[in-house]
Amino acid sequence: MALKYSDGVVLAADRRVSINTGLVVSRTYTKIVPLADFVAITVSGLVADAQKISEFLTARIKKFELERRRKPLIKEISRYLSLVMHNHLKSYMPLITHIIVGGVDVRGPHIFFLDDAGSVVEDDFLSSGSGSPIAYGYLEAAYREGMSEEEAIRTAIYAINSAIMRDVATGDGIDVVVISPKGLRKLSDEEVKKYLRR
Amino acid sequence: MTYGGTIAAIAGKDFVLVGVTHGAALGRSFMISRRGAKRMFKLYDRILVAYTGLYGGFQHVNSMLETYLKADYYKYKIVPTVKRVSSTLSAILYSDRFKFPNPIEAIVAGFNPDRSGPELYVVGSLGELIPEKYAATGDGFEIALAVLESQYKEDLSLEEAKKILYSALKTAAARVMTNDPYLEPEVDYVKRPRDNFTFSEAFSFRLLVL
Amino acid sequence: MSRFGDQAVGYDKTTSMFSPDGRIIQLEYARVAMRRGLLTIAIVTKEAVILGGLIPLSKLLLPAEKIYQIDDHIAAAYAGYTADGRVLINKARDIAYQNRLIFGEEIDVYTLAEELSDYMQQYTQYGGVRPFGVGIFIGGYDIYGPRAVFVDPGGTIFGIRAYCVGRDDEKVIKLLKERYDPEISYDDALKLAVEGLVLAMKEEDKRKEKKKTEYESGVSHERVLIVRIDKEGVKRIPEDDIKKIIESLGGDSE
Repeated sequence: MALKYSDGVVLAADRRVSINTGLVVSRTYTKIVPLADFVAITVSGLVADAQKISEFLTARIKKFELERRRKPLIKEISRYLSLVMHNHLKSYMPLITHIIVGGVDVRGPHIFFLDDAGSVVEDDFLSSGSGSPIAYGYLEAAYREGMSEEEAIRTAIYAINSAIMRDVATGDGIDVVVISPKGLRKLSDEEVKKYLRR
Repeated sequence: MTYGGTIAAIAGKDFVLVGVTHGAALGRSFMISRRGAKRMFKLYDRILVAYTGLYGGFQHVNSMLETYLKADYYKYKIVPTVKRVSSTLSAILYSDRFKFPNPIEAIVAGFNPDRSGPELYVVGSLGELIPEKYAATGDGFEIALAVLESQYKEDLSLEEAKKILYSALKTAAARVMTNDPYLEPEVDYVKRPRDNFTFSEAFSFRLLVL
Repeated sequence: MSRFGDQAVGYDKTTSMFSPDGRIIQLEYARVAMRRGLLTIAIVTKEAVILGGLIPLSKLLLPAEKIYQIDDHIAAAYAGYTADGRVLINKARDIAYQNRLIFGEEIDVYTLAEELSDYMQQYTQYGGVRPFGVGIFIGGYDIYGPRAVFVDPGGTIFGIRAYCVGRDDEKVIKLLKERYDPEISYDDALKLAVEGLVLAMKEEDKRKEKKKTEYESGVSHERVLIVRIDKEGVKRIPEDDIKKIIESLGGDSE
């Protein structure tokens, strides 16, 4: 899931990967992928598709920066990726993954949700994956505009935690990435635990 | 994949009214997953285009539509009529007829540059183009259409039409689970423009040549 | 030694062949074609780009287009062979719209110039074609603010502060060199652009005595076309404003 705060975005995700038989395939998988120092994505769905997308998008952003001598806008990244996903769907080879793109650009903090058909929706807070209904339940009540960084991190962690508690396909620890105009920062496990204890 | 939404429209005497319900549900589940989903767009302050169906589909179709119209405008100095907008849309949709027909439907309504109109078209997923006086498509179209059918009459005033459209969309949202009953339907309208369309200052010299 | 004389004859017949001293002679001819065109001028200020040019005026023919809108935020003008220019303008538009479809955003001025220059460069490296006989100015307001570039027939890109190309451009460039400074205000820049164009018209007038064409000569505000590109988009400077500036310069506007 992801949410915006006053001048940045917080992305948070659990670490469990499971297959539909109910077997947990990985308990340490990082679902937040930093693409550059100002943008990261969270992935859910097929791991293979998600990994290929992250690799390809990282390279594409690098190319964009070299070609245009500026960082891409978060909207530009999202729209580009959505076109790729839409074209895949149109050729009957959809990339089966839901992605949240979050980051900070010259226009401020932005988060976009992308689905496998290539839709792009911007919102203040977003959630995807199996535990998203539960995370939404918390976010719908707890989110407000203009939160501080600390409040935003806490809200994100609590939302993921509620999903871990109630959704069997969500679990095994929380990754949190904070992107502010200063850059991208990944919270350590200790920091995350501190927020949970409070 | 994100689907959903009901759209409805009424063409009056001097106005067209188009409304959409919010909410896009994930897959065929009934969770309102995307609240911020925008599905109605205004062109040149006189044409409204609303979509329903696969969200990822119509976003790209709309982006293509807007770009093609822009190309027509700058390249060939064509100021689109309602008919032209809807046939461009229909051409885009038909181009995928044998590959991947986008599961979307659209309503295009508004006035022409020469102030004629209103015109209202329903564009189907394969590119079919049907002129109507009032229309509804999308998840809850049976319900919305039932309301419109029973209440529509010629020479509605804008206020009356608004009321009818609101109740049509609200009824649909109340009874069709993929629509979001907690967000008010979004209703927008355009009135007959007061003046004929003129090219902006930057173009005026070109008109000498045409 | 060639029987055609000392010159490296034959090397000017194609763009796919260098002359022994390392030039592509066709390209130099293309630059000559470019500079035969009516003067085109661009000046960048802090708030807006000014793009201007002269148009041929005739009793018998309708005035031509000189400045083309590429997208909401970009306009372009060219000096040189009109038919070639039109092709490039439409190519530029396609490039701009492509960017909208892919990234959902307006294209950067410099990116547009680069992609257009890629296209123009092809015509300097392959056989059976000739280069474009135009230089094209692209002015726009993008994420960086107001910016303008000039792409020459070979596809070389020049970022612009103030520049002009076309008939009598040496004299106008001299004027720009004297008068332009990076802090120039928009009003002064507009005046400077008009002055440059008026200068070109006067020079042309001097030569006109020798050669009669169907085109009218003499300084006239009707021959001047200027647009301003700023945050709001592209706007044409009204003829009356140009007329006033020409009058204030002491030039006789008919």
